[in-house]
Amino acid sequence: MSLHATGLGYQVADTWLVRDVDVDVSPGQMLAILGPNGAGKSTLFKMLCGEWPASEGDVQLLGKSYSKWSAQELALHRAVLPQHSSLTFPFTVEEVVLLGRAPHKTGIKRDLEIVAELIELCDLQRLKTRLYPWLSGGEKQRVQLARVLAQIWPSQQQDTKQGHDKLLFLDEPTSALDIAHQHIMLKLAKDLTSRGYSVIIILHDLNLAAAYADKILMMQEGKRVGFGSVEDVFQQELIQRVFDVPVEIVQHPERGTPWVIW
Amino acid sequence: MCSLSIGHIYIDIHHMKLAKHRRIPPFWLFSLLSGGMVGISLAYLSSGVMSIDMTQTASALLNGLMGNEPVSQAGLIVWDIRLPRALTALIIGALLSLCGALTQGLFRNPLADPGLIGVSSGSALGATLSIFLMGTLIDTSWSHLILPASAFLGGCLVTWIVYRIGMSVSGNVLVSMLLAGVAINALAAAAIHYISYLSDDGLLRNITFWLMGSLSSAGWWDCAVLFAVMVFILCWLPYLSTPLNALLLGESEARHLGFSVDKIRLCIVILVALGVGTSVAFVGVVGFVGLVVPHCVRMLIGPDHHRLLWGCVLLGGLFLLLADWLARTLVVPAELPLGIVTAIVGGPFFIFLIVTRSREAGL
Repeated sequence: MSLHATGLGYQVADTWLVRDVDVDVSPGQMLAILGPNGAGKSTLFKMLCGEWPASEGDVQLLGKSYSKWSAQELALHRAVLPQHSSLTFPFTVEEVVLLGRAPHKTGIKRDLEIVAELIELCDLQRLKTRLYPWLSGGEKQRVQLARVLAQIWPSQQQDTKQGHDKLLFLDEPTSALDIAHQHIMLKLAKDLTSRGYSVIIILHDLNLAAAYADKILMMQEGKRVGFGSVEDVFQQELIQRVFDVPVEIVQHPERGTPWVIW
Repeated sequence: MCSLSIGHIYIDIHHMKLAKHRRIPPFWLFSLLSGGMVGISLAYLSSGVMSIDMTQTASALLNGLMGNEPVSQAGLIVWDIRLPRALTALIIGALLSLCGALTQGLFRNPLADPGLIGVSSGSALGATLSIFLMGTLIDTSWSHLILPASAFLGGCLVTWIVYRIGMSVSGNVLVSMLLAGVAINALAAAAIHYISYLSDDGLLRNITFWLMGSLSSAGWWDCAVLFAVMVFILCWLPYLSTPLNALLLGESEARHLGFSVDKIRLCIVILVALGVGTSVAFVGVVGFVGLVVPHCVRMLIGPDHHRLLWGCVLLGGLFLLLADWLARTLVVPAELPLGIVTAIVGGPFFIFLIVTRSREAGL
């Protein structure tokens, strides 16, 4: 189990933002966290990635509680893509991606190889010498993705272990992207899962989640109201109740996955 | 007409957005600055109330470097008066701009200043208080030690208060530190003004001269202490550059990259308090260096702290050497306070930065 959380809760003053949530993610799985605004997705996400300590319950990453990980060691195993970035200093795109290699001691030569590879993968060749603060929102998001991928990229070129001990956390990575780049990003994440990486992702687009995720966690008012495969969770009754809109669920003609229409 | 001009601005901004970075290779800049330092040092050592020609200056330097006592009057002036002062200018400039770059990195704000965390005003208050007390209540022959010591302690104390206030707040530590710094700066300024109000003409002149900064009393001893402090701070730079780069991404991003943000923040606050506190203790308050120099270096070679911090050491030293040279030579035989010269050069440049930055932000 790459991520195992039991009885998670987060309390602010007298209010529980999240309570009684259990989550399991196996190596090579993509877990999508869904739910309406204010359902506690981000709070749960921050506990799962170790940014906020849980008020209740425990999160185990690769079999070890967050409190037992040292920050440096943890950085070699899990990377987090935040929703917003506050970088305002004029780094070039290449320099930002290279910052992802900061926790590693692989040497500048291999680091630059990885950076070049990821710039290619994230479709950034055209932008690589441009200054980050003057990119568009979507371009910035792709640069940040390349940076977090650089953080957990295999240090050796032929790494047999690959991604079985690595986790990627993505907080609404597609929010500023056009349709083509949404798919590029999620395909990239999906590719990673086939190499053993675990991906935990917050999404707003139900159909994107249905198309790419292996497992869905549905949140409502701080509670887990659905957890399982896409087919298990994408039930008309549940989606209608959680999002409070009438929907139809059909099958995607090519992929065969559920498709939500409203 | 209006829409046309708006269109122009838009195109202008758009053009800037697309512009690729035009940076100078750091090696060129570093060589240029080092060369400039040697050149200006020679000019600095040769000019002043008594002009000394370059060959005499050079031979006095060689003579001193071989460990001999100065033989001529010119040699004495170069070796015992001007050289320690020039070195002090270089070190103070380097320290102040380095601390500026560290503060700007910590606050993730290119317009931050070491004064933000209260160290400058705390030191100024400590010094003002000691000048006042030594001039009125206590009669002592140790004033040359008590003044820098109380300035240094004042700076450290105020920085500690600001840091504690910042850390005691749950939420954004940096914003609370910044606001605490603003409040403490105002309090310190009020106290300094009150002390000035109580002082007689002679003391007031001392306080004013000190608040504007001056290198005129710099000797070998000051130089040695400042050098030791600078070497200590420089030793930390290799360990701080990467964490500072990561911090620019944001605090939680830096944590996710495995850096212990609280330790780095504390370390930087201590180094800045030490660097600025010592500088202010020896030469008074010298404004604008810590703000303007890191900004210039960033525009020339980019924001990567591995290069930026060393660029600040060189350019900061050169800038203050130049400023002190002007302070000494513009109104011979008198001398301008250093703070006035740096502000005259730095002020208009800062206004230029504000104007150009707001245009980039699309205002």
